Amino acid sequence: MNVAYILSVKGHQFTARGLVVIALLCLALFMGGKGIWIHMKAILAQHLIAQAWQGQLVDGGINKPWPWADTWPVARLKFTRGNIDQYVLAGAKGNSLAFGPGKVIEAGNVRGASGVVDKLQGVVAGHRDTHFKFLKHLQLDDVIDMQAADGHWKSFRVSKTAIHHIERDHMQILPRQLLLVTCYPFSSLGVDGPLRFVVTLVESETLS
Amino acid sequence: MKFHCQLAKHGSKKCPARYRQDVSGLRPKVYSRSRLWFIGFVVAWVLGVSPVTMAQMAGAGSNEQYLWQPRQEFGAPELRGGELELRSAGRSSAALHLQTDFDIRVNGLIAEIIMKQTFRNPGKERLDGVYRFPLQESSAVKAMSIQIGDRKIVGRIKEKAEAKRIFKAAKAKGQRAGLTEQLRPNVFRQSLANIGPGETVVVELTVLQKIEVKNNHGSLDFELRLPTTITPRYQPSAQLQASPNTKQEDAISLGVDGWPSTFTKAQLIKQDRKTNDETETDAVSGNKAKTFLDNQWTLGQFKNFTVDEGDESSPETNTMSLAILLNAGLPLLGIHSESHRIKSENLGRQQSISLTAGHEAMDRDFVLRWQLDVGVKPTAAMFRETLGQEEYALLMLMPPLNVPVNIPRELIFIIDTSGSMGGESIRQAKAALSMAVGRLGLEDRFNIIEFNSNYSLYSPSSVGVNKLERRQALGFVENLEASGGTNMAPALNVALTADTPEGFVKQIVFITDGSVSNEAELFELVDSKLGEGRLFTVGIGSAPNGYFMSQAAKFGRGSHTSIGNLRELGAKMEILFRRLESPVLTDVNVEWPAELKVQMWPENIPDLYWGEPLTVSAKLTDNNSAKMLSGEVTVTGSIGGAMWQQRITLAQGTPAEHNGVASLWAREKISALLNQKIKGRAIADVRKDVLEVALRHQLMSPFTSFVAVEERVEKHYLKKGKSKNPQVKVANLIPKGSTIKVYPKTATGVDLLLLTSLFLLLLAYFVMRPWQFVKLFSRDRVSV
Repeated sequence: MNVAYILSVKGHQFTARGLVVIALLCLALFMGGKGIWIHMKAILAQHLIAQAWQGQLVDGGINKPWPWADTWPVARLKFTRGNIDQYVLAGAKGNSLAFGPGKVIEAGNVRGASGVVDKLQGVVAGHRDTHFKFLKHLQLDDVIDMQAADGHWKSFRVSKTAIHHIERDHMQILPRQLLLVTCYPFSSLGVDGPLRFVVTLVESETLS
Repeated sequence: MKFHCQLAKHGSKKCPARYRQDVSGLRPKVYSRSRLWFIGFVVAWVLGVSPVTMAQMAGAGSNEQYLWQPRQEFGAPELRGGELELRSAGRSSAALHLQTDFDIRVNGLIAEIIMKQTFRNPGKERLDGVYRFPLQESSAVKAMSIQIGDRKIVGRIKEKAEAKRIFKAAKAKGQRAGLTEQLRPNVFRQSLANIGPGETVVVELTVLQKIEVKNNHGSLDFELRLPTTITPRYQPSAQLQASPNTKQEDAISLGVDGWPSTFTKAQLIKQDRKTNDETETDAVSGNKAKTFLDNQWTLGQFKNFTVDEGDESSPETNTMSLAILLNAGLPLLGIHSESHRIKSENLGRQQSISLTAGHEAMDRDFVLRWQLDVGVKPTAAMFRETLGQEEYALLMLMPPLNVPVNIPRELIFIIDTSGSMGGESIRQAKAALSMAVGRLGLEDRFNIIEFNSNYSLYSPSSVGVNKLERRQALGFVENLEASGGTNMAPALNVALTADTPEGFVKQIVFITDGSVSNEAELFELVDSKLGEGRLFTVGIGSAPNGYFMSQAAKFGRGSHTSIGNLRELGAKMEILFRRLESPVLTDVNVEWPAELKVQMWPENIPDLYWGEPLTVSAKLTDNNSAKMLSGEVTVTGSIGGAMWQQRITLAQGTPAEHNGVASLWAREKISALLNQKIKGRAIADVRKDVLEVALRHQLMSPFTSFVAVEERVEKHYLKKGKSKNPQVKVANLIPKGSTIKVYPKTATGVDLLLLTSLFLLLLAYFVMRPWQFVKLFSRDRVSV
């Protein structure tokens, strides 16, 4: 039994193999935890945002989902066929996209920190692996309903899907249109890919 | 130790049978501490992950009717990267189509632009249309006419309110009519009434524009710029709700006729609401454009009318065509455009230029540049036009280029990181700023202020330049991102009021796309707080707000640089750096022959920076016009302490008449008069003076509009009753690159994390239990 211990801490003795196992476990724990945390944030935040949205519909002002949030809901997005009900946040940077799809401020009406972006048309982006996973299942003529901050609903119909290259293409933002954007390809594991999946929806009717 | 024992116990045949019958046949009875740890970890991991995955899948799985079908196959879309259309959308979206044809004659320093806007009503109902369009801020609109079929109706210049009355009356009666108004110095509005189904209306505007001249390392660069679309304007919203003070009320009473740029923000909106109420009561949707800002973006929520079947048009058909006849007056070295692909043809003394593609989307400014042949280095040029007893002159003069001398400077960079700067613009701005930081001399001091809705400073006060500081500053610049509103005033204020150490020259470099609509307030701020500092503006993006940039630089006694794309950034910034580093030509004075009565604009000539030409417009009155030609103009100034002087004989002016010199003079005068308002002159006085000039010279101004009404109308076309037409707003295209090339990062990489985690777990498992790993391959080696 000539086992070579290479480390001894307070009476616990470790073999080289044992240390490797511990290191691997720690790493696995760290990465798994990070992954779980991302999903947890994506799911739990939506509940808090839902409350903020309800409050916003009632009092009309800006309601932050949690006190230190640097974003707030600007629209509610419903895709009935896919059982999707999400709240769209202001801004499409990492800070908001972690918690929900984000409206790209750069593409819409800029109304500043205290103003509300109440237009539904524009560009909404979401993470490929959390909120906007469902985009890959969208089909032509699928209907997505959007609720604006004033409580009104509008329906948008999928009119086309396209793959964009961030260097070579640009998004044409037209009135009465909504663009949903997420990373492409869906199965890719990488983070900084140059392709985006862009779904164009056209306003189909105004619901009450 | 235990670990080892287990291994022995397991492998040996002495191991009791009941152990061997265990699920795997290998599970040890006695769990080592490390194994307990491990199992605990796996359980925790599974417990942790599964709810998440289940919750993720719940949405998809629980709904019975929910059927995912395979997505349409595109055939290696990754390789194509373009748009793949499934079906053309929006049958009901386009209602009024627009095309703009520019027919331009450039003669020396003046461009005469015939701008033809074609509107077509493809629907089945009569329509009214509204289209906002931009023009270069210094341009003068001299004539307007509308053409319906083969009938041409010449527009008349009227006082603004009267023009509006005439237009509204015609609209109510059912006459075809057109109204062109100036909303801001560089934004105009074209309204049309009663366009019949299938009818095409062409609005023709005659616009005069000065050619910009820049000195580029000794050779002269000439530039013609045509704005085609409008940058979305930011309206600081917090201040909108501020209770109006007396000053604002003052202006409100005059608001309807006022120059919008000098309006306070509250009024802009008020006025806009008003016009909306007048013209949009019949718009289909109740969603009235709320602010100036919204107004210029929405195509209108109309959908009562549909486009004929088979009509392939969509709102994307906002296109332009170009025909330029360029007579530079001197041999040319080269003609090129950074913005569009052009083809040019040599016609002897003239050049004919058009777009290679024929038509292009109106989503970016058109910029044409030409250089004079090497060796031709004109230092002065003069163009003249006689109008009755009056002679008008446009004088251009190139000051000498001096070798830069080092003056210790305090440079304050202000960079706009608002949402409108997103995409291409912020990249350009960051590149420009990085260049500037890299170029700082060791004796200089600097600071960086970035702003969107709020502002932040690189350092509380300016810092000296050294290697570390420079690297830190570059890092600061690298981390800037565009989002939020454009609240310029506070950032500008900080820069303007910052204390400059003794012996330093304060230079503020302001990098922005200028998408603000409270320009007047910002000019006031610059004007009142400038002190000894100088403000230089750098316009970024494909459609910057040129009016704001050049005026701000004017009030800031600096200069304006406009950068359209990354390629020209280096050269343009180089020119700016030279300006910042070179001594300035000050106390410039132009002396005309004593016997002439001269009215010259600008009245006080600003300091001239390196490479900047001096341009003045003058009206010369004298009874004896022959005498004028013998006179001499003397221009003096001081540069770096030395005197500089140049003489030009008036006879040097090209003998040929130049159309438009008088109009441009009048336009300059109107600008100067309007700037008096910012400096505190009563608006009523300003208005009176502007009206006089504008009506005399038949020019569009904030107080005058062009109106054209079809007088002879077929009886059946006239309206009975009070029915109103649907009104259509023709949308501008969103400026190219600045707002549509913003692709957010939309992947968390969570799948990769979870997969890696799983892989590591497996790895750990195998490292810990090697006998099992081995056993997969050979049973014998395990059983000792």
